[in-house]
Amino acid sequence: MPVIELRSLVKHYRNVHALQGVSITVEKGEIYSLLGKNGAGKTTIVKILLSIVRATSGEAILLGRPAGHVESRRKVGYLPEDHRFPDYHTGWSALDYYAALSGVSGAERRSRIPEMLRLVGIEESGRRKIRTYSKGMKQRLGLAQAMIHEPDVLFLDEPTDGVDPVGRKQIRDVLVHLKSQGKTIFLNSHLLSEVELISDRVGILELGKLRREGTVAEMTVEKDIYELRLEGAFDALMPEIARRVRGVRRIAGGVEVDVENAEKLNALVDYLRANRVALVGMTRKRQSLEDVFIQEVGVAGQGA
Amino acid sequence: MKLVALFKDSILQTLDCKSLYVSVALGALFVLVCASISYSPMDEREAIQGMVEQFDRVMIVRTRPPGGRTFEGVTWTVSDVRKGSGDFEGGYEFKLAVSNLREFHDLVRFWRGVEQGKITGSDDPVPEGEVDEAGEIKFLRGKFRERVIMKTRIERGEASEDKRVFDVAIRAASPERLEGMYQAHFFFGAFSWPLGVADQKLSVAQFMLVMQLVLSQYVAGMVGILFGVIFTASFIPTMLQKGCIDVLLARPISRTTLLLSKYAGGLIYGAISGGVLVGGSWLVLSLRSGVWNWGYLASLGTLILFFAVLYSIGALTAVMTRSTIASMIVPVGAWGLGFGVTWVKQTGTQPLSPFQLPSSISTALEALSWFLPRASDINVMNQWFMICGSMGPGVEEITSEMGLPEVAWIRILLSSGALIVATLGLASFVFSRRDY
Ligand SMILES: Nc1ncnc2c1ncn2[C@@H]1O[C@H](COP(=O)(O)OP(=O)(O)O)[C@@H](O)[C@H]1O
Ligand SMILES: [Mg+2]
Repeated sequence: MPVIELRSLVKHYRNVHALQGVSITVEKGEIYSLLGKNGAGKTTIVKILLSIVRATSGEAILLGRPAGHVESRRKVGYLPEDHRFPDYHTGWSALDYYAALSGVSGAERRSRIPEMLRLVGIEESGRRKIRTYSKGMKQRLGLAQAMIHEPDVLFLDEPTDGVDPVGRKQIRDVLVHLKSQGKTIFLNSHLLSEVELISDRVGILELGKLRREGTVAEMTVEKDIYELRLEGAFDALMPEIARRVRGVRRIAGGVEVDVENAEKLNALVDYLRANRVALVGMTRKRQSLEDVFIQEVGVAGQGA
Repeated sequence: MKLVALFKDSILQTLDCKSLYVSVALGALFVLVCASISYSPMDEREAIQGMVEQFDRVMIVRTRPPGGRTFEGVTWTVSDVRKGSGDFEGGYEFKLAVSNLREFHDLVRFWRGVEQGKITGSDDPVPEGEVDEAGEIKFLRGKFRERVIMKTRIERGEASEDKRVFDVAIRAASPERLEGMYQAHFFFGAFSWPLGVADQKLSVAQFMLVMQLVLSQYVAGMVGILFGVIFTASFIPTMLQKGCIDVLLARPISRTTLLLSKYAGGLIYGAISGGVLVGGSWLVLSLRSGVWNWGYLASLGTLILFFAVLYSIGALTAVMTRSTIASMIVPVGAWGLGFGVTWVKQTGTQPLSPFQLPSSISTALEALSWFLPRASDINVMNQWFMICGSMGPGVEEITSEMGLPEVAWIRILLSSGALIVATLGLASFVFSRRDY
């Protein structure tokens, strides 16, 4: 039974068509990442699953129950983007509050809270008021509140936002650790490089539509990209090069080409040689997820 | 457990804001001022003399407005005052001399006429009839009873052409119920005041009644509730803040529960701070005076009911606007509006008021007032509680004369309850349907 199931999800906010029929299935134990520019609809998907907003049409099922059912949220943790905690709380009392709301008993809370604070690396600040926390500390506290009740599913919306590089690495480690415990993780991000390292599957969302979906491997091996370092007047040959390959891009000191197979690549090299353009170097480039993302969405995601 | 957590959250929030300490300090100061009031007995002869001197006035309470008539020619002289003994332990025994017999008997006849319902205005003629010894004694007994002195023994001693001397023994339910018997000291004795205004002497019990009416109606009922509305106004808007509400809504708790428990948190907060204010002042006032008026304590219930009405309006405002300021202003505005509407309606339908409302408008105002907090209902209930609570044992028979306010309990409780249910219902309906 899938942990998360979206079927033709549609959401209209007054006149904004935020989601236009999105279907996604996430199995237990997977890390699924949703990539997309700001405004693509990532947050809306998560909010519908948690019944923070209501879908216009379509179905959203979480842990076997329709989203919106109180019980469907019992084993779910959520780190919202731009979250805030009431600043009269200390880190400790906030975790105590949220854990109690998720039904964690008092005794368990007392043992889990220090554990959590340590895990996210803010144990020394646990007794301080949240209003004295830096953005990074608040983000870590946010992660802690999402995990305090040992949920089976975690929704993390831009979890590394505002966190320094060391912190990002720590968060990534936490996620890998959670995955090893069999938790399902649903990640929203525009930080492609981060997602690429830990995701099992990735969906690319644009303007409320799922443009592509697959494992990182599937998405990145599909195309062979070669970087050719050339010497000679190859600019004049660009139209002919473009005709012979699937894709070409002028780079400093050469071209980047996307060819179907080695045979075509050899033919291209022969053609260049015949036109007195010398090949002085060649690298095979595995396409990064970012390349796929840029290709799909057209422009690099902001802040990436 | 979840409800406890939500309430704890509200408490943390109020502890965090410095103004709570201000209000607690104000409340404590207020209780201290109450505790600073003490009483000491006056000269007993003078006090009893002051009381009987008022026997020459006959009140006619059945007329509207109430009137009365004074028979000033009678002179009253108290002498030989002793502490009571036996049945009158805790009371007094004394001799009461009454002179100017003609006018005394007119007074007795007039008083009897009022008692029998034959006299309805202060200008009515004094009725004819004999006044014998029994009649004189009955009059005196009645006059003591008007002052809530239920236990009396009156015997006529020496009787001459123009003078009567009575041997009197009296015992009130407690000494604090004897008019003019005590003086009050304020601010730990900084200044003293023999209880009474002009020649109208007050017993400690009466003074306490007046004071507690003022306290419940103005201090707790206006200032206290205003503070309560202000301090609790931020509870729901803070919960609804962008970024905060997401974290909460993702928890396994329904939105209605979330809203209602925050509402309940505000109520408990109001009840606790009101309890400290009213309960604290009730305790120290009672300890100091020896008069335990449960009615003042009971008025806490009506105050909480009224606060519950106001706070439900605040909760609806909070859900609609997410603004703390609006959640302060709207309930207070509704309170003021309710007060204004009731006042205009009442004034405009009284015979001698400066303006008169056509009946259609007064009906419309009456209807409108049902959708608003009705402070007048609360005051009437408080008065009822406090007058009832101020009566000692064995005083029930004269309750009709004391003029207990009429209270439409069912109507008030139902209408307040309906207003709360409707407002909260709408608030939770809106809250449940919102996208955050
Ligand atoms: N509460 C809302 N009211 C109106 N429009 C909204 C609301 N929330 C999001 N939107 C719009 O829906 C679209 C998708 O937003 P969102 O799901 O937040 O995207 P993402 O998380 O991918 O940045 C955006 O155009 C955004 O402006
Ligand atoms: Mg977003």
